[in-house]
Amino acid sequence: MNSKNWDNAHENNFFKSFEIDRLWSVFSYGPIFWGARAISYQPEEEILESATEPFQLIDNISKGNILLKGLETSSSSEVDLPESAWFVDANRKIIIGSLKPLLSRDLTGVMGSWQRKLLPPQWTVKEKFNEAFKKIGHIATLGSNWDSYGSKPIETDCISRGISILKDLLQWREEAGIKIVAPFVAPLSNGGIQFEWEKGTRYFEVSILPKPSVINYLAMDEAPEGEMVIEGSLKSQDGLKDLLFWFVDGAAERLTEAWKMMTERSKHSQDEYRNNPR
Amino acid sequence: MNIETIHDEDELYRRVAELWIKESGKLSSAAFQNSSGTDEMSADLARLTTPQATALHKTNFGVASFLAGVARELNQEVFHSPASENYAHSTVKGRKTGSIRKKLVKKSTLILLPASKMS
Repeated sequence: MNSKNWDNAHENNFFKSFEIDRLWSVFSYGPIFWGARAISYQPEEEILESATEPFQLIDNISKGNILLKGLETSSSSEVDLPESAWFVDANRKIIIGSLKPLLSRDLTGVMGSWQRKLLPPQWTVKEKFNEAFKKIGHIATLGSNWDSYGSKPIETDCISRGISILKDLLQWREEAGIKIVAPFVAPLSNGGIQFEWEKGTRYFEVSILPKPSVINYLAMDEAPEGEMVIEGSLKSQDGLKDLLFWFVDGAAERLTEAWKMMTERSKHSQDEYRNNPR
Repeated sequence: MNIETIHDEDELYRRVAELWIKESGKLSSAAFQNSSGTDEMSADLARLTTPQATALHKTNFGVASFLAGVARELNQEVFHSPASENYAHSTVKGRKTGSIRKKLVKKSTLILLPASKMS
């Protein structure tokens, strides 16, 4: 295929937006063409951002919740909608959305006559947080040996601290603008609770432990340029905010700052961590 | 009871609670925590059991499989420790930090899903 044909094929593909049925639409993304010339490019990493978990390709078509972003960060190009179920076929560079979202005018990743229409999302971030709260509620009811390996019931103190952290997350979203999503909530066999977040190559885990009453954390980034792992122990949830900043924006300097701050806050944290096997 | 030698290439089965499996089908690292107050985690030697037996024939448990060699690479001691009701019972002994548990997740495969997670 010569370059002109390639351009035309992609241009046609890009502007192709058709209804599958009354609820589902297909939108292409990828290189953006204006006439026959590409004027910008929307990388996949920027167009896909999971609101719950890292975007995963399962059998070529993935289900997830995505945010659409424009390339112009100086303007209001980030779109908080849709937070409804979306599917992506990365090979064919198409997004299948269940509803037509409200998109900003300068959004560079998708185009079409449906841009300014607003339909309600299927769920909101708050609803996802509610699910996390509900799961904690469920976990609180687990009796002994719920894992069949002799586990303990989840400690009331861990339940309270878990709820407190979730509330903090919502507050930080609102006040500090940290776009942290609801975590996956898991019970721990020792009576604690674990929160987990994944985004691209980044992973962040917080384990709320019963005795001693500490919070263990694990921050990992498996970027192609090298793996980074930081783990340690916190006496309180104060240090979490810095780590979450890192998780959301991925800036390594944030992690360094967070690490320094936590080291200063608790000079003996590493010793405690060593003495606190799990 | 005979004690079997567990080779690096031997597969181990770990029973997993449905609460540890995410919507995406991924496993939480909480699944690889040591038993409370110990530095040991139970597993079954795969060649002496079946995934269904490891799941106690209950539909609310899944089973994750990983190689003994993988655990050993993560500074874990792996040995056969048969129990009266479970000859396949084995032990993965060692401190399991968050990163070790996460690596075990990455190197394991969910071979049996709880009924609630089957689509």
